[in-house]
Amino acid sequence: MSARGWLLFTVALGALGCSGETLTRGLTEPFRIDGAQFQEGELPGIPADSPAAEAESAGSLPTLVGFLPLTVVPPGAVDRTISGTATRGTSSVGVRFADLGTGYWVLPTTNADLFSENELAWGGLASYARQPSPGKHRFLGVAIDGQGRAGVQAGIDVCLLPEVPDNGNACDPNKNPPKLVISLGWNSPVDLDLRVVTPDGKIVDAKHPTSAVKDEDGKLDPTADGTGQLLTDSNAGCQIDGQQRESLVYQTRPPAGTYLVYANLYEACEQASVEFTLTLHSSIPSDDHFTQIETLRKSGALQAIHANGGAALGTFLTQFSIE
Amino acid sequence: MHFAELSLLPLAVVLLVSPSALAQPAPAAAPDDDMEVPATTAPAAPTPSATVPAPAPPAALAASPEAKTAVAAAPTAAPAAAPAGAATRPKASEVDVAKAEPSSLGGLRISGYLHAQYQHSAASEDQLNPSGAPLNENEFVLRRARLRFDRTWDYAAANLELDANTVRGMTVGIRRAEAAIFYRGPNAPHLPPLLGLAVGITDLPFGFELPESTRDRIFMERTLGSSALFPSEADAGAKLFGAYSVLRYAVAISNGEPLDRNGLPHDPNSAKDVTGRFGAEGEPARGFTLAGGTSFVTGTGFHRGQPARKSVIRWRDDNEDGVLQANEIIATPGTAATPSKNFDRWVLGLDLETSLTTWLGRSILYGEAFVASSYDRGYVPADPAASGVAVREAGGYVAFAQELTKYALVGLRASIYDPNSDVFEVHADKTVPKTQTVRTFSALAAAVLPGRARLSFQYDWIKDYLARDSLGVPSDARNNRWTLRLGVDL
Repeated sequence: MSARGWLLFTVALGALGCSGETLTRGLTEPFRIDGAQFQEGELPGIPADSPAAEAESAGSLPTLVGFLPLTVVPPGAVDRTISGTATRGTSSVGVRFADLGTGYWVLPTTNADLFSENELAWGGLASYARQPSPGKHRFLGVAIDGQGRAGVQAGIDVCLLPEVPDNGNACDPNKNPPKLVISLGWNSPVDLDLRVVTPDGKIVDAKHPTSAVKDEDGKLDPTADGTGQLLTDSNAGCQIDGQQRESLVYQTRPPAGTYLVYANLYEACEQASVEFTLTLHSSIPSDDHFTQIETLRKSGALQAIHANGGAALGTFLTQFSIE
Repeated sequence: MHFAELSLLPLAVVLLVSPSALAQPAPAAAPDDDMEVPATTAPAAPTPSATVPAPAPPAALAASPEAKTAVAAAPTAAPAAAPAGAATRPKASEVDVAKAEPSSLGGLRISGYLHAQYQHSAASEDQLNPSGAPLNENEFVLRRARLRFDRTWDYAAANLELDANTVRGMTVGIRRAEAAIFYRGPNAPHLPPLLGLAVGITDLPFGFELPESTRDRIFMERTLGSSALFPSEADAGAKLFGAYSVLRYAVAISNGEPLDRNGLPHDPNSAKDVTGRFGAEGEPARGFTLAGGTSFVTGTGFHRGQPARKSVIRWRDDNEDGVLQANEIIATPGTAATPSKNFDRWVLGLDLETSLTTWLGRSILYGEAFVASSYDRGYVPADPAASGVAVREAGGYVAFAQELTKYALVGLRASIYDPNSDVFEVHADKTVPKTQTVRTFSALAAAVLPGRARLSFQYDWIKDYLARDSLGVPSDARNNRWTLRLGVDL
């Protein structure tokens, strides 16, 4: 075989080796859809704001008729329906965020829509990344026919919520974020608890999820101004929920004084160690509204031997004062 | 059974093309060592000290599968330097890893081998699957580390083979454990006995690939079709085997449950599977061998029932706001247990194998084909009790291997497997057939240190329909793979 022959043979082998569609689960993408095929690259089709989109009004290309993604997405949301309909002749539908991710997901169309014989149904269950880029993002979809021709892209704004509660401020600046959020996140499935000692001396934790103190009648008012609320008890009793974050949220200004923050490894859940990060988030004025900013970040690690079943306050992380 | 007539077809073919084979004994060659241990010479006297086998020199030809089975079950049946029949298949000792001389200890024979490899898959991903298992497939693996003990007597034999590997984490288990009795009859020492019975964990006699020695196998692993029907080569049961002239037979009755960690802990039903192979092998002309046979399995599969479930309360986030509302609490009442069910299943296979020895070395051409009903137990496990319809499966392969002197080997193999011929899906409001067929093309090159080791490289082009193209049509997934393996005898 000549040198050219060997070269052709090698190229042919290489081409065969690279053929086929990727089988990635898409875990590094901002979302994924069960049973859908991931394709790298930009979404095909005509952008809705381009002149060509108006020229396509005659409808010679397949069209996405109904388009129903989740419009407000909590971090790590799982099995959320994404569905819609498309005109007859549509073979598949592609969806992606306009500004996030490296490609798009392809779903084949299935039966005729129950309510419109002239439309084909499509859909799947989407799961979203736990650490997305919070804020408003354009979600695009496009219908593709059997010849590979893509129609005009349809778009809808989708709000990706941050892991740290912000009352939707990332998507809508008119929504005021909490005055203060103390948030503890960690990286392995252990029962780690956030504990905060308030100026009143109360220990706020999973068993005492509010900073409110009892009045003379022995009653608590968790809705009172300046009261903080612990939102979740993640992985309680080693019932792994995947959240691995606990946040103490003060919607209004917290009482003045010194706050002590601890991380307590209640149970190691058969894990050798856990790494955690504590963050403080404050609401500050910005123009004519408020914005949430991170004011402190502190990381650390605990080993299984530190698990105490709640017998101690835990590892001291930081203290701060409210004036 | 409707395939009874078919089962005699390959046998007839062999007899027609090799009439001389009936008249002459098979040529002398080294015995097969399916799993591994070469056959021993017959003891001079029925005393333990006399049963110490002679070391087996490297073989020139490999034995056919049923002969391997026979020899493995009754090591005294064949001399160390003779094949268990006129076989056409290359054996490790000839074309790849040669057998090391086994150690003997008071009549107890000890041998083994080791396969260590690096494997790479285009489908590999540095992520975890939903159950937490790694999706990375690019790794070093101890594929097999086998250690085998054999003890043979005049009319009885026993063996125990252990396997250690890291395919699914560190695992050690029994690969084979057989107790056998046999009657040699008029058969020459290099042939399997006239009649033998092995009980224990024994290889199933089906086609060429299944009972083939993993040490002798030319290609890295069995084809997908074989692995789908038989996730593990061995099963617990009893096997009747033997040879008469050029004819070979083996029939096994076994539990019918794969002996791997994916199966049930023990046989879930009282029905047993019957597996058998009837064939012939001969050498019609000097240097030219021919073998073939037909195999079958008939048995009973098991559909798992569900245990009773207690009532549970679930939260369904109807408005997807992540906050519990009263109307989102769903009470799911408990359910009664559902019964398990049995279902019929069967396989029918044909195999043919030929080899020709030239100045360059041995050329081997072989293949198998099968049709099956509801017998897939490994790739897409069939459960007709759930669907109400029997699952039709079909597959086969053709392989060619060429020795390039005794120091190198190349091979090509094309295989196909359809795990279900009756799958449909709705696409664009049309019900269309959906193929699940997988075609694999394998190319292998190996450097051989005769009698000691083999360094092999194999590339597998896998053409399937596991992915979808941009039109939503099933298309080939990017999952080609290659393997670099070093095999050395212990």
